[in-house]
Amino acid sequence: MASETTEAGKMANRAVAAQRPNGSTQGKICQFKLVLLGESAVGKSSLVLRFVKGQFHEYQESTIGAAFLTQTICLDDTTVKFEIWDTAGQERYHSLAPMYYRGAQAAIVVYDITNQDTFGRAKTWVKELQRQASPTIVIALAGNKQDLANKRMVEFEEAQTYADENGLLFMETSAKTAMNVNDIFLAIEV
Amino acid sequence: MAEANTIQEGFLCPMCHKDLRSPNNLIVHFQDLHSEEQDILKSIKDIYDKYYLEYSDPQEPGPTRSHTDYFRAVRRERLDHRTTETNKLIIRLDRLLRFYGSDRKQQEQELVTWVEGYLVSRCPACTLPFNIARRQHHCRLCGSIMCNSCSYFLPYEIAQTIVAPVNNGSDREPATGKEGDNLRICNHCWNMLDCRRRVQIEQMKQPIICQLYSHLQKNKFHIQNTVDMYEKMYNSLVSGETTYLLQDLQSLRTTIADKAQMIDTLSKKIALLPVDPGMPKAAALQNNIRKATSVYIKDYLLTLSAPPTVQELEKIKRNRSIGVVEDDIPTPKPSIKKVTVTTGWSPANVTNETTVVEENDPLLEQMNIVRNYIDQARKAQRFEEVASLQENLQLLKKMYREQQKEEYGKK
Ligand SMILES: Nc1nc2c(ncn2[C@@H]2O[C@H](COP(=O)(O)OP(=O)(O)OP(=O)(O)O)[C@@H](O)[C@H]2O)c(=O)[nH]1
Ligand SMILES: [Mg+2]
Ligand SMILES: [Zn+2]
Ligand SMILES: [Zn+2]
Ligand SMILES: [Zn+2]
Repeated sequence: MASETTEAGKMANRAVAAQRPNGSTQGKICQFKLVLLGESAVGKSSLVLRFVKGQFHEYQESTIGAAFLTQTICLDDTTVKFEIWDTAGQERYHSLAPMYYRGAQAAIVVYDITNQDTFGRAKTWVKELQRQASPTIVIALAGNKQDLANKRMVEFEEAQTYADENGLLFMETSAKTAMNVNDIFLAIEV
Repeated sequence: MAEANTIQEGFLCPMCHKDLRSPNNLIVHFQDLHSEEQDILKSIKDIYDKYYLEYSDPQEPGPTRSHTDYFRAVRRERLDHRTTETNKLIIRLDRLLRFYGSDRKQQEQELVTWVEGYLVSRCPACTLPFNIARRQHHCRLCGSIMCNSCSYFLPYEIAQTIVAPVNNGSDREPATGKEGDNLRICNHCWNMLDCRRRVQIEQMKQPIICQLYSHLQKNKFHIQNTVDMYEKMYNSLVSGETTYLLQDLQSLRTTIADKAQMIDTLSKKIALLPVDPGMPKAAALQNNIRKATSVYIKDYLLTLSAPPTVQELEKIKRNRSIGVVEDDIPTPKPSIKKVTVTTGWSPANVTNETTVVEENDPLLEQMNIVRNYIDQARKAQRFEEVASLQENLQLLKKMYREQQKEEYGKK
């Protein structure tokens, strides 16, 4: 019995002491857990898909449960690994959300600029995060489908004012044209 | 007649009319070969002395005019023209390579109009007449006629490499030419294609040592990540955790061994590269790369701990469940993570129709989804992802248990 102990102990020490040939100059590595929240069909999955794979699907299927994606980004000598949980907007899955935002360092709350109701739902999410999530969580608000600005129902200034009052990062995005997509993910990280 | 018309100019010797190209040369030449003609020499010297007196001061430049823009415009136009012409040829070549079967000749003639044979009595390139011995041939790319020695057989393999960049990004099938086949084209068309080809080759050329070395580094980088993961996984396993499976550790070990073999071979290849005698340091460099790689493999990869046996692992788990050893095992310090820079990763979407059995409880549904993701991550050797997903699965289970308790309490 004792032998396992020492064996494991040795191993642990070894791992720490392991020389890293030519690895000494590598920069900082951050792991970054991120969650997306918002009403169904506002484009959460589309935003993540754009960020992770550079793709956009006109017929994106509605998410069930929560989907998981990772993306690695190099910023100067810092490597940032995003672990992203893309939650389902359908009401039925609301109860799952806390499990994903509780461990997250950042949340992107998404609404659809052509749909006033989704902006209302976004505000409810922000409130829930402010009450239940980690107090250090960074929240960003994304007004998605900016490419459909001719059908706009939520004014930019209205959302900006709301974001300022609540200390949120805010950008209008378009998963379709890729506008501001990388920017909002990276803005959160900084 | 012809001689009378030619006007010679330059620093000519008055005796033998040779052009000596500079006053000094002329004077030296004259002194050496025509020393008996002293007075002529003197007069030559006088002429040049006078010349130097008058012109040794730099002359005021007269009015000037830049032709650079004109030159650029002409050049651009020619280049554009040549580029479009070459592109046209490459597009045609691409289509030619897709022709096969019995009606190939007919397809070829539909692609470009072939010049009628009776219109051409002499080869336009060498002007020699066509006859039974010098027959007419059509260029498959431009349709013009020339003789055998003014045409070129373009091998399919070379044609493929010229065409390849055109295919880039399109999802069409690669051209289907049979090997050993070739296309007759005229020298003019071949020149255009060959120019493009040489530019491309030049652009891609890299000394072989650089290619091998960058290959080596890429593999080393990959090994580094795998080793990090291996250590993390080993620590997790021997401390009795169930995040990873023993198979995971074994599969990583195999990956590391394969890669080690690969970098070993690569470094050997580098060491054996022929050395340019003009670059004495190259040999030392090549040997150093080889040495460094050997040391790396010996000190770093061969020292990895062997995976525990199934029995050992069982023991560890048993002890852990009794809780005897738990406090004694130092919690392994998380090894520093280094992340491969890749494009993002995600498991294939789990949809209602496929893996997930319709569950009434979204929690159960999500547990199935995450289990499926874990399988996918494991298959892709994405072990960091496996760990995060496992963590989430535990969380879901815990939440489900709490929910069950609550409901039980209500009843
Ligand atoms: N025009 C436009 N359409 C978008 C944009 N983003 C998403 N869409 C479309 O909106 C629809 C819904 O997008 P999803 O990404 O599935 O939305 P979601 O928020 O993930 O929805 P749930 O998974 O049900 O929560 C899809 O048909 C997308 O093609 C955008 O920026 N512009
Ligand atoms: Mg979705
Ligand atoms: Zn002479
Ligand atoms: Zn000819
Ligand atoms: Zn031709």
